[in-house]
Amino acid sequence: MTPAGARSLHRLTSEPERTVAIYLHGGSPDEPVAAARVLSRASGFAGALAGEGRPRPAAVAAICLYPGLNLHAAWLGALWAGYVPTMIAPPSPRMEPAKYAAGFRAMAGHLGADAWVLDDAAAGLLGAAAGDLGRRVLVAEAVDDAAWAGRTFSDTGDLDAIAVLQHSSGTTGLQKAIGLTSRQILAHEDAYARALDMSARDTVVSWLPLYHDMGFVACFLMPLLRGMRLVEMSPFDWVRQPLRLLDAIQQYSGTLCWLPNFAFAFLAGARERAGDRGPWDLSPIRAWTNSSAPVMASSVARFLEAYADSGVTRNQLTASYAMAENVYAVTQSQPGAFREARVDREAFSRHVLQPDPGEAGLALVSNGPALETTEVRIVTPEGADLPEGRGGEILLRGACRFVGYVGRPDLTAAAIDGGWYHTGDLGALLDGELFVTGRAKDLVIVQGRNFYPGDLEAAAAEIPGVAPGRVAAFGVSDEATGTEKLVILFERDSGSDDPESAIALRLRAHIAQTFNCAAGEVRAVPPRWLVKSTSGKVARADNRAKYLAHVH
Amino acid sequence: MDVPVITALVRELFLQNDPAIPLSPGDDLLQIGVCDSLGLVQLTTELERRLPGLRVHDAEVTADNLGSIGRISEFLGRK
Repeated sequence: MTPAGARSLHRLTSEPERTVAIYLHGGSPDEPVAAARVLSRASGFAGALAGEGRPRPAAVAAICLYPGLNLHAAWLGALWAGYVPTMIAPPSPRMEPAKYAAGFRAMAGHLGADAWVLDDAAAGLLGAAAGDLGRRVLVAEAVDDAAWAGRTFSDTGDLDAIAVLQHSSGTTGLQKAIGLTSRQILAHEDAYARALDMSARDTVVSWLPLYHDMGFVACFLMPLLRGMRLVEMSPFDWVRQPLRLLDAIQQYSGTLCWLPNFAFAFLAGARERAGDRGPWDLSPIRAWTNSSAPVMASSVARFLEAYADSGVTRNQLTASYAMAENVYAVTQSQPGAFREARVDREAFSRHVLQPDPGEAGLALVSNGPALETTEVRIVTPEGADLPEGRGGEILLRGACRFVGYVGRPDLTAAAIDGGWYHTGDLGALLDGELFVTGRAKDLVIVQGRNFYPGDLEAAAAEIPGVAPGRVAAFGVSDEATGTEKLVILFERDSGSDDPESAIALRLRAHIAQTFNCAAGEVRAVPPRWLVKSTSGKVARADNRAKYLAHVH
Repeated sequence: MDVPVITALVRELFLQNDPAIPLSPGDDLLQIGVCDSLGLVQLTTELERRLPGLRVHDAEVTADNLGSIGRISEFLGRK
């Protein structure tokens, strides 16, 4: 077991009576769980995963479960048994069984995990194919708590061995596995806890999925390592009953809550819809952390207005800029120091942040200062440093920065240069605070989940009737929902007799089945409408601009 | 609210009002990628706006009740 594993184990063994987590289930009573129970369940998983021997060095264990005690315990058990654990998004059971199994196999092939933990339902859907996923495939419900009985865990003391994996892409695009060492995880824990003054007095309330860095680090690792109590509901339950999050904060006196930007708009909308619900007492909250790039001033303003009668104040608002490549947080603003800046729109289009306090100014939200372990620089495309108030690419380095993409030295070399990680995000510094303003790389973020246009375009190209190489996928910001709308434009294959609308619907269904994501708009464009670069690739930024000018 | 009106609403909310996209009452809106579960919430809001007196509880916003045009029509009939 790595030192990070030893720290988590120590937390649980030193306070066996402490309530570690309270799981909120749809339709059944809340389930408080003590440290001793987590310890016993996680030990069971450790025993079942280790079997007779030890895992080979750096063997990966993929944990693919829905929220609850088994998910937490399986991840911990894998860590303690000497595996490198990683959280994997369970594929949508709404998919057709054949696609479900194929998607799962592709994911397993990518990941190369030695061990898998699934639930009964997933194992049932996969049937015999489940056994081929890895050397050891466990069904969580069948794991016996006593499987580790009589054995002990030992700390390797190796701070620089990879302890856990995160993935840069939310779900399917597993091509970039980020290895994090104990040294990085513990440095992040220390710095981030100080940034928000986190302690055992805190209660974190969350609906965030654990296969994404915000849920995994802020709402699982941090509570685990710092001894904060966690109140957790599943993303599925939250979407259906968003106000239950607020019921839980009131009932359990929640003090910390991390949310992606769209959730602020969504919660405001939920209150507007349910005019007869509330108010709540949300005054125990010390910090609502909007962790998005960029944070939208309009979403935050709607949230403040909708819950002003429930004790939500501007002083509780904070913002963060975060990514798995830095364990999680790069920056974090303090409660009481939520800062907006109005800047001149025309100057902003030239990457200059020039204050314009008038109504016509563009409202930007600060993501806060960098954590003390992290240095941030803003550079031109040529790599020259930019002064304060000038926008460029955000670079970072420090004690939490990842070492590289596992098994991909090519991608690592492209991303880290002279110790500095090139984030691909755009931003500017003002008075030492980072304002994240956009992205240099073509990433689409829908409801907090990252999608790579290349993955989406490759999937679209599989649809009969779509002209080869003539698809563009990109995101368009949508103020009403506080997130991006995924737009896919395609040209019809000249050999196809199918109507464009039928092809568009097939494409939608394929994207939904493959990525578990509903496209906001799928549209056929005339032949040769899509702009290609000189190298013959579809130029996404140009097509996005053309779409906004002519189609939208 | 009958099937053609609901179909028109679904087109308006999620399909940029494109009348050509074939939609039938039995199509599973989530499975065919017309919307996601947040889209069902958006749809509910719009139904409540257009049908004064309609109140849909959060717990009722499920694919069982609203996952296809046919199911939406039946659900509204029951309310």
